[in-house]
Amino acid sequence: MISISAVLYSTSLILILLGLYGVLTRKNLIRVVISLDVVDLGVNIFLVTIGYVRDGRAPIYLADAQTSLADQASRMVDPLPQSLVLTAIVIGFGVTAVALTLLMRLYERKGTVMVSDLRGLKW
Amino acid sequence: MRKVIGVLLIVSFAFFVFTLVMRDLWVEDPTAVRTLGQAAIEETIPQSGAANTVTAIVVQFRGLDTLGEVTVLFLSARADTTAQGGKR
Repeated sequence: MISISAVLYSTSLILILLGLYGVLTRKNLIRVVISLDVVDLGVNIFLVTIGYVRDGRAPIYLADAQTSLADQASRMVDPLPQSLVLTAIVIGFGVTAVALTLLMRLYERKGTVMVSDLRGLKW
Repeated sequence: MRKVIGVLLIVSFAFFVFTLVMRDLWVEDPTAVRTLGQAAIEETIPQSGAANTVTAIVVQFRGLDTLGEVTVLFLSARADTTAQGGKR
């Protein structure tokens, strides 16, 4: 029996590795930005998985009378990584927007988004 | 050549993660080490009155952090319009 957290840990590691490979090998800068987003997704999945407990419930209190609040609290997953990831998603969106805007300006000035055609920083 | 170097780099990164990071991060019982998260769960209803612990953390326990997050979001939107040279 493979546990859920093992599956999610390997998924996040695979996504991070795929994204790093894309950042390292692609020449098209748009693909590099997409690879950075894949790394971002993998890190977010990893952080959420850290807070998972076995048979855990979402950290939301229910109003039903069957289970007491303390009993609900004992089965909740860790809410701290979830709120951290909620912030990280928004920040990742901002980072992607700025990166794509810079890329647009680069294309307007140089006429290309391929790293191999940009000679400005080479000597 | 570049692809070979990329594969070597990510394989070494995976090795680093498995041998150094995950070995030290791995715990059998996560509930035993989550002191701050446990405090957030227990203080949700007494201190914030919210039913959802995540929203209680985001907007109340760590409201200043969320203010900084919104600042970053609006700053990036402003940077985008500036970088586009005022074109709309």
